[in-house]
Amino acid sequence: MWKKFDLTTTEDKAGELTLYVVNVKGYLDSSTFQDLQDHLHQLIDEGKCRIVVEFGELNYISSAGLGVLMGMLQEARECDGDLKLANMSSKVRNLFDMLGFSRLIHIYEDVESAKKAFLKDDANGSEPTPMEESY
Amino acid sequence: MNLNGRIPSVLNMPIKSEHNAVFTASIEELPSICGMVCQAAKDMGMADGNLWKLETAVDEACTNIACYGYKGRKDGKIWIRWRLKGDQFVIVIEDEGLPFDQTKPTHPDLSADICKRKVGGLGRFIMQKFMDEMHYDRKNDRNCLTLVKKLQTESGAED
Repeated sequence: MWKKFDLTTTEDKAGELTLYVVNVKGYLDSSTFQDLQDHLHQLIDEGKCRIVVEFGELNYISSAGLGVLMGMLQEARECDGDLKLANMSSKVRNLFDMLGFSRLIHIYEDVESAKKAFLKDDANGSEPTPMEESY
Repeated sequence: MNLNGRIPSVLNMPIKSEHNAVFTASIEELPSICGMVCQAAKDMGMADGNLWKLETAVDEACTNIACYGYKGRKDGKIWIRWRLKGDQFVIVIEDEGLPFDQTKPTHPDLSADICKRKVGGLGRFIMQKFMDEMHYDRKNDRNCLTLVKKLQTESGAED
């Protein structure tokens, strides 16, 4: 099969904070974005608003996938959380940079860095970490 | 004619005839369409750095056709032709949906506040950024979108 898509979520800790790492694999496009949207919606509806989306095994993202992430970012922040991205390939990063999305969404080199950023956010009273401290 | 041992690249290229395929215009068909086009481009020697940009542009174009051109109709078709022209991969995507020029300039607001930003329209913007050339024509009640991407970047490096 040319394209596959899968996602798994694990509960994790950053200090006392509970957060959720969503590992996205394969192709995130107009045929698969709904799965991610439904999944993130469910997490946020359950009050699980501190989310790291891990892109280490993401092969491809289209505008449909970008739309989901930007929409869910807004929802996560509205419930005092954040949606942070980690472990992005250079080509996916290229797309985020080209569209100016890397100025709006926090992108980190790996999950550990994203977890530390959540700790910082918490120490700052839930204010998102300033962009210049992102990867 | 003395070429000092050099052969013009266009003459050095194997001659490739035009290939074509027909697909149902649906989101479910996108993996097949993109997979087939990318495999063809790869077989013709397209660099990985250009390949994913081609894939993205074809994906966005066909998504627009399925979702907007045919407005969700189940019986719509997408006709695809591709060929090598010198050092360029040329693909023509045709559909019988509503007239829709995907080459029209689009300037999505990329600096607005996230709450005010509209994500729609990004697909066309991405296509225009990633392709070397785009052309549109409407003939015989079909939208004809031509996408052109060089096999390699000027430097030979991935762009």
